[in-house]
Amino acid sequence: MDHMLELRDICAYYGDKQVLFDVDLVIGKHRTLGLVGESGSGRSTLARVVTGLLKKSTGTVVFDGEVQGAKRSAEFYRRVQMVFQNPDASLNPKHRIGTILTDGMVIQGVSRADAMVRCRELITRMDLPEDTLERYPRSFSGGQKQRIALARALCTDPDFVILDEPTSALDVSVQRRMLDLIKEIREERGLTILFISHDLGVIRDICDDIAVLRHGVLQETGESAAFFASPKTDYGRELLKAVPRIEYE
Amino acid sequence: MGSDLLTIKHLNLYSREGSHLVKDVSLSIGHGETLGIVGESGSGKTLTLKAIIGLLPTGIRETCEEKKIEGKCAMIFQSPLTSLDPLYPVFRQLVDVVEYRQGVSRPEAQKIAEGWLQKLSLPEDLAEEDRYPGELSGGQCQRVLIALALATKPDVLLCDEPTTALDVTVQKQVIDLLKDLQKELGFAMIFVTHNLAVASQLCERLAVMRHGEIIEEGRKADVLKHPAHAYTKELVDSVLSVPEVD
Repeated sequence: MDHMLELRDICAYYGDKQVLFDVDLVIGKHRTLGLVGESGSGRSTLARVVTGLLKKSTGTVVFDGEVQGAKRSAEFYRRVQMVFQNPDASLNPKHRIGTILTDGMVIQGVSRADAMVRCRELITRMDLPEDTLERYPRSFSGGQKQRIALARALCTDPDFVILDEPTSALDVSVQRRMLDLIKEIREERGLTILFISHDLGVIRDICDDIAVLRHGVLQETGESAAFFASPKTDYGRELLKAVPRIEYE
Repeated sequence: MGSDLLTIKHLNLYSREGSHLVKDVSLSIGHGETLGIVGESGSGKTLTLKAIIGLLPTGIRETCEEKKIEGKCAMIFQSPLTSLDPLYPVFRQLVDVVEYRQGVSRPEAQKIAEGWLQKLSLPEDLAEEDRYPGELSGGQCQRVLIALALATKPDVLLCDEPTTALDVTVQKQVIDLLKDLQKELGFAMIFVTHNLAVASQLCERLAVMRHGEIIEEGRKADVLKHPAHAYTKELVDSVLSVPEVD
């Protein structure tokens, strides 16, 4: 199987404190890998290592067969995009959606007019209102804002998308719609996805593979179906047991 | 419903601008009963809870045909770190609450507070070596908050999403703890959450709120297995299930 991303012996530090310990991980092309763990387990830190945003780390990041240096190329930042948990913190409240969406493309050398055309297509695809590009973030609901954040990530036509808890701030019924949309887009564009979540229900719904992180140490990896049938580690089992289920009686 | 401890009839809440936030909400709860109020953001579930205990934000206008509360209420909140005083060591907060609310002497309060540490599986060395909220984990802070609420010996415990900010393994501990304490101490509980699964584990009765109204209420089994309202069905269907592990 072709790998989109390969991580070897990743260690990361905040100051003197080590937060990731020798993490080895691969994501196959067109696969969705769910990275689970509890708060402080190092999931978001790992995403920052992949994108080159965390300087104090060691180990090797291989993206689509190429070893990445400390400074990533513009092409890397076109091909790799990210969506964060809180759309309020990731969409500039003082910019119109049109500006927010086109800026990334303009930096990549697309003319503002062409960028606007592509944005309109994306807005339609995301089931957002037609006048979205002229409006400010505050006039949208949480679910709509998160779809805008996803649209922005797709603007540069990436191959690999990191979604960091993209549905955690959403209501359950809205979450369902968002997950379905991500699945459709994934098929249409052949995306490879690193899906970070604490919610095993969400992971099971959308991921092909799973990796469990605890206190910066990778506990287990494998196919999602195999994990949910029988976790390999005690911690995986504990995590799965802790998920609240509906009790009918 | 039994002898009612708390009865609210036709509660209406309006914002300063006049929008109708909570519409005609009626509910009641008897001794030792558990009621879950489930709804999504903006459904008015937290406001309803705040109206019961009298903590409505300024500017909210309230009308209520009948509001009868027999006995004491206590409340726990979603974010333990913002509801504990960060400059006030946790054990001292607990001892102060016990001393003031139970009207006992300081040494007596100290002893009772130590009992609560044990009941809530908090580190017992807190009694000798007190710590600030920032030095405890989120789960520990939430347990301190539960101890503070229960130390007032409430007849009704109002819970506003107390497990939402916690990790799943910690959430499970807090749910199990609340279940055990409720059985042991017999307080009634109103539990507000957006998480149907959590509500179903803690409550005998469920009320579903949407756009400020209770659209469905009944025994847990009835509401979950035979939802009368399409929205309730949508909520039940939205729960992404995971298989059991042995």
